[in-house]
Amino acid sequence: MSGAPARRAQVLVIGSGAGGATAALTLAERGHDVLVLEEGPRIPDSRYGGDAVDAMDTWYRDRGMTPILGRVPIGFVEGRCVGGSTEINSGFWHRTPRETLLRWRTRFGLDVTPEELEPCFAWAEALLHVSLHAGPRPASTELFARGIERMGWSAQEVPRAARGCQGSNACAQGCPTGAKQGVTRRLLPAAVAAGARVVADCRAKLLTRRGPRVTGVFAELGLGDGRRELVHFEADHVVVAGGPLQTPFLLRRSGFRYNVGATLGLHPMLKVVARFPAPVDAEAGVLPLLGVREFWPDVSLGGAFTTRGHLAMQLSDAWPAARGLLAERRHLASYYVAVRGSGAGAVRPAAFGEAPRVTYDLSTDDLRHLSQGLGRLASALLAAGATEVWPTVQRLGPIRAEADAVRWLDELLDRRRLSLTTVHAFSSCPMGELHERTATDSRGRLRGTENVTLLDASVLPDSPGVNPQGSVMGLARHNALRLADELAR
Amino acid sequence: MVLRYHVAMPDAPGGRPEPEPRAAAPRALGLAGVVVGVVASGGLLALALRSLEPGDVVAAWRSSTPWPWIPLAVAAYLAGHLVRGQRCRTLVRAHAPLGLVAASNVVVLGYASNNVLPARLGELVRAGVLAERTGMPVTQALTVTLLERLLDALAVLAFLVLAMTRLPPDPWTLEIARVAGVGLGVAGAALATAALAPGLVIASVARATAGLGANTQTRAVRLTAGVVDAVVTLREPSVLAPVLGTSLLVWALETAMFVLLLPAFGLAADPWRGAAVMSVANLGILVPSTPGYVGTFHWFCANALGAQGVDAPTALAYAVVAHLSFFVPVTAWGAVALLGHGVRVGRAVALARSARRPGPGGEVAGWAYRRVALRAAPGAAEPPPPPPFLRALAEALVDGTGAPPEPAALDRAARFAALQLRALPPALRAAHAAGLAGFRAWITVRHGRSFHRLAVPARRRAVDAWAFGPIAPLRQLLRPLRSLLLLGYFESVASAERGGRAPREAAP
Repeated sequence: MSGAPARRAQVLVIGSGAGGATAALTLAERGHDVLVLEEGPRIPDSRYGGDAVDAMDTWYRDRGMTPILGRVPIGFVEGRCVGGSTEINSGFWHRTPRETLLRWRTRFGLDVTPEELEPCFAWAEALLHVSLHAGPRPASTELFARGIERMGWSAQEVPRAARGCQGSNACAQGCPTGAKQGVTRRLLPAAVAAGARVVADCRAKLLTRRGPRVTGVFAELGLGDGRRELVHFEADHVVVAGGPLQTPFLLRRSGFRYNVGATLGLHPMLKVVARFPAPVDAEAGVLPLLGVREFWPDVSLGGAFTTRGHLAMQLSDAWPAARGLLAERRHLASYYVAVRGSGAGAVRPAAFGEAPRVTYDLSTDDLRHLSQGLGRLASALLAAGATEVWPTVQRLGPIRAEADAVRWLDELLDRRRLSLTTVHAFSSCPMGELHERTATDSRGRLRGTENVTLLDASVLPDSPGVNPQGSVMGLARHNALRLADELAR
Repeated sequence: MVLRYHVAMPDAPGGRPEPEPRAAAPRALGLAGVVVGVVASGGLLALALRSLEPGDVVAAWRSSTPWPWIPLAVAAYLAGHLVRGQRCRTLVRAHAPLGLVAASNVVVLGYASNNVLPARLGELVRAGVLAERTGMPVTQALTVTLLERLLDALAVLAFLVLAMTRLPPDPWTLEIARVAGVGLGVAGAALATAALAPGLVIASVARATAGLGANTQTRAVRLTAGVVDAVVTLREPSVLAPVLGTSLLVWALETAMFVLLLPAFGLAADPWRGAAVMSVANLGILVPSTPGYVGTFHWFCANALGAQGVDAPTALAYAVVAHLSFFVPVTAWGAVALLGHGVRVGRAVALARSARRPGPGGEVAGWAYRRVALRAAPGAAEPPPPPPFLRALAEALVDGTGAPPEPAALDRAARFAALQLRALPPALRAAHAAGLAGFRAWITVRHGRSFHRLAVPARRRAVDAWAFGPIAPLRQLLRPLRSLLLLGYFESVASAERGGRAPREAAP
């Protein structure tokens, strides 16, 4: 773009994460004028690979302190920077399972077939270099594999969006070597090369509307000198890709409420620290790569990010007994149980402050799956040779024998003692043709408007049962292609 | 699975659905209601005061013993609103999740609005706020509201009938029960029909409006579908049982309020007498009246008590106190809830208005924008000093981990935790700060000095007792802090050992 500035954007994309970057690239490649507004900053290369203390200040929304309220509070983290959460996740990649897509067709009337999504997944996988780990598997993965084998379960190595991973163990702090493929590696540069503009430090606060048409976005723009300006961008079409919490928050504030923010879903996650007799040096390598498929879709088991600080935090639920364990940190590794949440969640504008109020009621099914998942994960780790398994459950203590582990196949953990986290949230504005259950149609077009499309995790109809990044990018690509055609007409 | 009834309508061109039906403007209805209400209230107040000496009422009031009866009565009444909130949550569960506090606030806003608006217009306010909070169409929210009120009336009638079986026969109370029974019987039958045969109701409306033109018929059918959609949830046992249970509990608590006020006036705390007075007074205020049911409530309440043999001055003094016991707390609660709601909605409205104001242009990344306002630059962000309390807490936590504490890491962890806590949402931050203040005060009282001046072993014992003890709220209070301090401390130690970070390489 050159000469006088354009008066209005043809397409204004809110958010530069997995969905927003995919939309920006797809639309810009097809000749549309695209302006991307990103609330967070553009992170300089020098800030990649710091420690967790640095990272929470730099990369995370609310410094990683986004609480999901309910009878069991759940900690939620997501990125708030150019590239969104793709800059701080582990890069694990799953296509939307065929079974899930078919379920979405049945339950929500989603008019997208697995075959239609196939090329969209392939496109994203090529750009993100999705592949299996090339080097030797870390000890924490080998041990996990041994446990899985002894239990007779099925498992698979999960592909990652990474090329030439050197095992820096800093995925959550911005990969210092550039191996992990956040969308700032290929997608956003390609979008910019195709003519898209990315404005960082610009928070969309309200969609302005005239009748059924959205006329633009009211936003708060950082001027780079500490001052912030309230500005209005005009746009012909608006793509909202602010993520599962910010998208419904923005829409509800802007007066769009039909099935918006009422059906938030999560993958609640319980972590454990396993202590092995020999050093595993989990702190010094790539995180465990195997995922247990045996209990999918309700329960997933896998390896978690392990640093000294995270180990301490995970052991802190039993700190009086576990405080001496960090002296043996080379023998420790973290794993997780994640469940396909079936509880009810909601996103609403809070009465005070500039953040949404997010709630989620952990269901009894969730609790049962977490309990059974803990029993199974502990059994597998003990079978792999672990001497102790410390779950993030207050006042529970370590599990030292399989007989202690299997009690959780029948008993329920005490809700009040759980320390849960999640990094997967979705379905706050579900998509599909079934009017009464969805906020958008199958193309992501928001009901009640003519020119707003949602392309992020908020539109997943419910839990994909796997890491949602692949589903987000596949569906975003699919719908962005259709939007590009529509705008070209 | 909860059944839902929707009428399939083709979307308008462009994928836009038909606009939701709007609630009819209540202006004409409101004006008529005001007139009827003022007349009814004035008349009933005059009847209540007729042949009474004000001095006798004052004497009855002066001879009363408010403590502890009035606070207990108010507590029972407010607990009833939490139960009403729970019932509201259950009724809208199929459409939207609503927290207990949010649901109770919606309910209370309706009650508080009825206290300041005439002719029960608070019900419309309640429906409007419920629609805003849940995203339900206004029609459906209004139906839920009316459904709640109908359930209330049926529960009250049940309490009245039960009380009448235990009290001496009284023709006046019997007449009220008979009139209410007929009205509520009709309404209950309509409700049951809608719940059990929703298709029949919709089809009947469609047939009845067939001759009024397509638009009118569509509107009528859509409206009916919205109503049926709200009612049909009662077919589910998992909804019906808790709704009926909470309805009875609500009015048991309201009865408790009336019973608890009886001893304040030297009367025996007879639950059946309390139930009869509660029922008559509440059925009585179904009559349109002035805001807060002034006059109407007093007349029915005093007469119900009089029918039990209580002298007129005491009965009226009791009615005045009973009225104030629900009027003042619920209006205050409603005002606070309304403030929060108003701030939330008002902020969005203010933003939208700001966006319409003309302003000079600006440019970023080649795109033009319209400038609306410039916010002052925040002060330079100086790294805060490590708070002594948090540093001392970190030191207590890392004590006994096998290595001497690193002072620099303790400083960084304390500073980190302080900044993290500031990032919490305001309400949670305030609650957490209040809890921590309690913890620190407890330490100061128990040990005679502040936490950070204690020896490390004493600090460690105190932290272990709170953060890892048997009392869940105390554990939850210190959970974020101990996690953050441990994360910050051990990350800092590891980072110092690594001696920095590697820069990101250029993109391939």
